[in-house]
Amino acid sequence: MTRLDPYRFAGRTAVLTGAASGIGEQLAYGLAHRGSDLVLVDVDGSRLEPVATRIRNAHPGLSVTTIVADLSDRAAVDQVASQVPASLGLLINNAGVALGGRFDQVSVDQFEHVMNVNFRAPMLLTHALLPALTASPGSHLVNVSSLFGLIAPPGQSAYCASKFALRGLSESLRGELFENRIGVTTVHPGGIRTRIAESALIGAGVPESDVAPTRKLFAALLSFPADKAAEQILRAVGKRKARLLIAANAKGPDLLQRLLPVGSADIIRRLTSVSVKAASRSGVGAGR
Amino acid sequence: MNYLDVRGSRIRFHETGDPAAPPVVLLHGIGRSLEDWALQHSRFDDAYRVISIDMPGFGLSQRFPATTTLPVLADGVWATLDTLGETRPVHLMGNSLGGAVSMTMLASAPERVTTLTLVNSAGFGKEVTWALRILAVPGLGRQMLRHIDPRTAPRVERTLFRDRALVTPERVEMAIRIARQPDFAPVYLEVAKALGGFRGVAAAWRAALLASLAEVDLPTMILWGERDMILPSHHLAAARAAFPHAKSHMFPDTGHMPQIERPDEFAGLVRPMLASVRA
Repeated sequence: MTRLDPYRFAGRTAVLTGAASGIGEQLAYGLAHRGSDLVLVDVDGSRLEPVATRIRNAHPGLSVTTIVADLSDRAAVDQVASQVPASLGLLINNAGVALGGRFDQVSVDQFEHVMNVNFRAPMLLTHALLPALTASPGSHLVNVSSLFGLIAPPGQSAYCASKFALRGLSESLRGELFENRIGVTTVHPGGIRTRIAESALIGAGVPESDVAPTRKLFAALLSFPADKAAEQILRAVGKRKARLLIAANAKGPDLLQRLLPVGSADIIRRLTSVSVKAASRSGVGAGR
Repeated sequence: MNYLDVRGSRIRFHETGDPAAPPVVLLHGIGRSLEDWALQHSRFDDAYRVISIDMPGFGLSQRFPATTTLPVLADGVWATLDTLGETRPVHLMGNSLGGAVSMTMLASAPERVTTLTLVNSAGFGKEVTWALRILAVPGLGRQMLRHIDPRTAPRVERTLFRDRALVTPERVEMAIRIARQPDFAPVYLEVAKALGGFRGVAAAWRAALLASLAEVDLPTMILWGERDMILPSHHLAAARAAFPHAKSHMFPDTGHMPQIERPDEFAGLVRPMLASVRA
């Protein structure tokens, strides 16, 4: 088996979910700079349209299509797939949703919603678009899992389940799709500065008094700039890397988890509470 | 082709279109000539006065007495336009070295430039083909430039295009004719030395030039061929950072000269920007 050639972005179409903000928005800009035509998907049309307009103004030579769709809805995912050109260079499953709360505090509906957006949608979309990817030699698939696709801290049962599932799908596909000359990259971002914390769902049974502190805790951990994360992802695609970890707070826990598969959980929990305290202290200082 | 006497040097230029129409000025790369812009004349001259110039010491133009540097070339183009009687603001387009000359012209006389189009332009990174870096090795450069002949010229031309069919006998013949000009090797080496050395394109002039343009805010288009083997296409990212308001496009399967390799798409991207200024 020989290696795949570097992925070439110019003149090919990329489908990107979750394109209206965060890493997805920056990926859209990075893909446009590199000359890719775009199909941008997001549930939030009011945020997606300005992103598309900005790209059309800066890159008059590109075709930019927007699709507003709720990927938790299976019919909507099928609808997205039907609007994609027959030959596709790149599919980036980036859209994701977070859910805060212990397992006994989240409803089954909420759990399923997270699974549907974070796992079922990428699975359905990849399944539907595989013929289009296969039709274009040297195409590529990216699945944005998470640090929580590698470690599973408490309070993140649904998110971890969905991101572990996506990682499993993605890693299995890498082996399968290699035979079709399609590359697969699984991305595990650590704390990236995006809207995921503020747009996170809160478990139905989480006491009101816990909501604000939890959001604050996450905001403190999300420090890595999204544009740099997007650049790293696109470079990894170019090189056809199998796995990409982004930010030190992903790399550290990953290493620890590999050294101490079971004992690492305790250590990470303690380190997290220390770094959150430090982050919120410096945050207060900056606020003055 | 026409020649002008510019400060005692014989400068070659090509002009099409209505002389009263807004002027477009086209600048070629190192060791090249105005033939690199031949395909774009007819794509602009229905609405513009299109002028391509062999910069002093390149193509079939004579050199200026001073050692050839970016400011000398920029000054040479302005002086040529003055001699032509073209003193209105121009739409500037430069390929490779011509891009760096365009930026230098803009820095020296911003009021004389309406739009800027940079095509696989020099100035945005240190990486450059080994063939140009090796010119800096004492003695070697002159030897290399002396040996551009029917055997070696096609090899050089092939590094410029993704599509080898574009290496036509006419282009090879022109490259050999240019290389036989008495000023060719000295001017080539002077410019190569002014721009960099064996380690690549020097950082100092690039930083100074881009800093001098930081305040300039005019319609800018940055174009690159993704498969450029002379100046790598990832320089486009640095170009975007230097001109954050610019429009840009990366041509797939295209080498160092998109104005030749993608002539219609090139004009289709640039003309709307020119038209938007005219309105």
